[in-house]
Amino acid sequence: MVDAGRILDTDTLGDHVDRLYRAAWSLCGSRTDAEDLVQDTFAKVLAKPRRVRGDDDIGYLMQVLRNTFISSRRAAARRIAPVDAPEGYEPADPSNRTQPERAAETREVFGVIAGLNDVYRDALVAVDVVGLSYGEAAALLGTKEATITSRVYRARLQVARGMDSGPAGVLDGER
Amino acid sequence: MADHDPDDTTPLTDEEQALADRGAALIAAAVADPRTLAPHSLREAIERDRAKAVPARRAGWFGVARARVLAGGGVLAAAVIALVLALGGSGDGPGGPTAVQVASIGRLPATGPAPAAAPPPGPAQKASLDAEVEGLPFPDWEGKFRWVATGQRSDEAAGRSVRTVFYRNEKGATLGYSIVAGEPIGGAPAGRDVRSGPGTYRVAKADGRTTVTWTQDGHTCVIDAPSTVPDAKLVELASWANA
Repeated sequence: MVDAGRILDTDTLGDHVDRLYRAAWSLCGSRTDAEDLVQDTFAKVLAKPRRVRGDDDIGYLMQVLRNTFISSRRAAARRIAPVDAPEGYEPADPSNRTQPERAAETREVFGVIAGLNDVYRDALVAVDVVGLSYGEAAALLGTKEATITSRVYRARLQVARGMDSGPAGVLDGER
Repeated sequence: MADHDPDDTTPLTDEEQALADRGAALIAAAVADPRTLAPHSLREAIERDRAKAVPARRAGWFGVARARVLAGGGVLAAAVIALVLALGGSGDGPGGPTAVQVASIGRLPATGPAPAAAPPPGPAQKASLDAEVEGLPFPDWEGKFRWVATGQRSDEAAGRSVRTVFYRNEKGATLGYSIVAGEPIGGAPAGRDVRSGPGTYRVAKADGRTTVTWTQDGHTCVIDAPSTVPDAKLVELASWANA
């Protein structure tokens, strides 16, 4: 029997915004770009009724987010590069005042993840950032569960090394 | 690692495994950092997009639109809720809104910033926020449960003041915690009663939402949350606030 699925309930989309925002930040390495990516993702999802299988709303949304990210990166590669923000620039965030060191470490972790090789980064974001199971991540990324497991562990290893050497080392070594 | 085959499933060495564990801990700490929650501006932008999308779908997608009205959460649903609250159909209790009507406030957007944490309590007191209704404070669940207050709103429903604080957990689920001023109200939804500690909590489910209703210090308190949050967790949150 074919599973026809159900229409994605847009009323509950707000429940997934935080996880998608973290995923977007991990992909882009920038909070500003992450906001744009999440908004673009929701705009696509809301453009017409979407059919999903089972209860896998977050898996579906992650797939749209990732596709949107890949498309935007291709489009950006065809455009003239904009002027980068000064190194270390972060939009003002009053919540950083109380724990500036922790805020910096969080930014650095997301920056290191964004600098990983795509296959490692995608597996890590799906499992450790979004919280998908290895099986769900395998379905999302179209590979075997054992492969996802291996990639996640190796990605974690690279994040630890990247945090020791700084994001630039990972970018140089992995991309 | 740059030249490593991404499909290689060779086990990590002990040293690599230790580093991977450290990496996992760093990532977990970053993900748990409240600064990684989606900013309010992004939530507002998405809600605006969603509100614009709703009328466009109603013509050819009536069934889903109807379900959305019932489920609440969007601008259209907010308008329906506001109308119901303004008409103020009272329950079978001593006047005021029904618990179902109060629960619907928990699905409306916040209109004010999250209350700050109250001054540190004594060793025997639970943490609370700098927000209260007639002396009954809202709990601060951040330290114990990692549910962070994200906003608040104040409403009038059937002649009663209702104050609501919104909380969000690490998975992004949001709940509304409402306290009704004055005497306890009636109209608790049909559901099951759960005893926890000294309190009894009415747990009810409808339209993808779970509500928990109880009386605390002479006030009706209502939690409204998506049904993805386990009932036991909601009762635990309520009973901790009621301890």
